[in-house]
Amino acid sequence: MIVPAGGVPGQGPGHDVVVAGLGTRLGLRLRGRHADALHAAVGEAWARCLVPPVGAGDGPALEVVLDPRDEVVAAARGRGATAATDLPTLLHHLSPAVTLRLLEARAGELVLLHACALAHPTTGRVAVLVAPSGTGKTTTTRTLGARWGYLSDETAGVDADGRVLAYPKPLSVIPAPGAALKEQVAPDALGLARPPVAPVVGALAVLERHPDGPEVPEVEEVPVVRALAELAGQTSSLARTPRPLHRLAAVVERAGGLRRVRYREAATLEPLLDAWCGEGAR
Amino acid sequence: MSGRVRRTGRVRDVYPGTGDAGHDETAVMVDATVLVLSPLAGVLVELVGDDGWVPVATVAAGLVERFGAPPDGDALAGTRTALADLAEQGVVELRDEVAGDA
Repeated sequence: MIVPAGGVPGQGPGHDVVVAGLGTRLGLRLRGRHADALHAAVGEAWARCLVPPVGAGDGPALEVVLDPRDEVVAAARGRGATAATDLPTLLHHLSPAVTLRLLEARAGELVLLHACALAHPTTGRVAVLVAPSGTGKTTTTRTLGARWGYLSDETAGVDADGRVLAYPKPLSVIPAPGAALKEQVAPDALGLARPPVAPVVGALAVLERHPDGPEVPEVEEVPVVRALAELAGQTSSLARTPRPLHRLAAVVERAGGLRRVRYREAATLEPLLDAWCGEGAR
Repeated sequence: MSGRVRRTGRVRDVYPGTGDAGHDETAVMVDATVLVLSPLAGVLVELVGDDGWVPVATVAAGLVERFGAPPDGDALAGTRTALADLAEQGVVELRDEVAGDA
């Protein structure tokens, strides 16, 4: 639900919406001369994250400004807004801006992994697939997401009980090799499945995709201590979590250990994920 | 005069392995970096504990108890060298004996 609200003086009317992810909420104040177009685009791309406003419980807010006037955009950025003169650029910057604020809100509470998270359609066990930016998370999500419930293509937040908190943001897709801006594509536009309720960690793997990698994925089990060192670099704000290594180790243990997977094509991962998260799993 | 040693305030957490073969290393988080320690270094960190300054001689005695005396017989010197390596990584800090140390 998107609720129109009063505008900022000098900027015309705007719209206020609320996005939810990682178990928290963030208000977006959509402003500027082209706020209506921004409102429509956010409503489409972020549809799975939008929740009804509840007022004081909506948490902090991020101002987002779409306006063709350079001076308006500069002033908005000066006061901390995410702003641009054109829509593709603004949507490109909005996604990390929202993500950073959600991560900051949950820092110290959740184990936050740079990973795509896909839930098995019947068991609810989640495959958390860790990979640095640009190395396979979004491609894997698009490839497997018609069947596996989409939780995130970027950040998996795991609470102390092993639950994976959804952040079904738009997928950030590079439209063509070398393109400067990532296109923000709605999960619904890609036909991604919705996750079952209460998804929990089922498997944890580091993805290593290579164009000349093995046709059949190769799996290596990583000892827990080594897993902690390997995963720490793919977390956010881990040091702010009480007993951080023990919290991370608990996630590794719940997942049955960390696996390193070398592969070539994302589609070949599915039998592995079925074995780890499907009906026959532990 | 063997000096004293303690864990630094930069250490966020220590996670020991199970001790089984292939799982006998220890992870230690210093600031935001996770280090993997050898079995010996992991025992050193355990012996240093997190209750403040302890004599290096006490740590050396603990090592001898676990692993036996070193071939050259100088457990204290070997312990100081190993602790110095950990100090370089920010895991522990060393100091000389000062007045008032028992």
